[in-house]
Amino acid sequence: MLEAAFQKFPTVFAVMKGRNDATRECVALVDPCAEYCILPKVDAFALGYPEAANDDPVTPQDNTITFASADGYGKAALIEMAEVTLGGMSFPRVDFVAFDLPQVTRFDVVIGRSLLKETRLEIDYPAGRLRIGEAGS
Amino acid sequence: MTKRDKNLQPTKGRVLADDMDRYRLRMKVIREREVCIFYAGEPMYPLIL
Repeated sequence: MLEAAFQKFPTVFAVMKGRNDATRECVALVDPCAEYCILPKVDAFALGYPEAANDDPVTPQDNTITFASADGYGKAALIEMAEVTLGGMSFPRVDFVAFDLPQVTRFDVVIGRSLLKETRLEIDYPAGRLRIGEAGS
Repeated sequence: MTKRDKNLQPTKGRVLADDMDRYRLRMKVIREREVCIFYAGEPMYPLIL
């Protein structure tokens, strides 16, 4: 179980371990409305997913997906992160979309439904408390 | 990281680099195998979401 305080947006540090065993730990927005977890393309590249850096619209990679957002449709690489750790909890093989969120949002990483479906999530906005536990807890 | 709280959230560590720009920061730490990005940058104007 992880319990953290937040002010405006529920956030948590997420440790992402790639297929090359490198790790990146980032502040992540906990967003149950996002279908997939999201990380910047540059981090996906550093974690051993070079296909995430392919921006060629003529010959897209096999793992390119089309997504819908408030800005309309977009394309991004869907990758499988080897492991994600939140506090003391580890989750293997988590789907991520390699996509650059605008820097002004102050979030590099989003934890979405592709990971949250494995957890019990409580967000207490009035108290500014976030609790994440494993599904069986 | 050199210090974490009871939830294993990072609270203290050795600073390798800092930059407001996400990409310049990544270039500064590209050779590191393990990195914690402590802040994701502050906006230049008040953020309203």
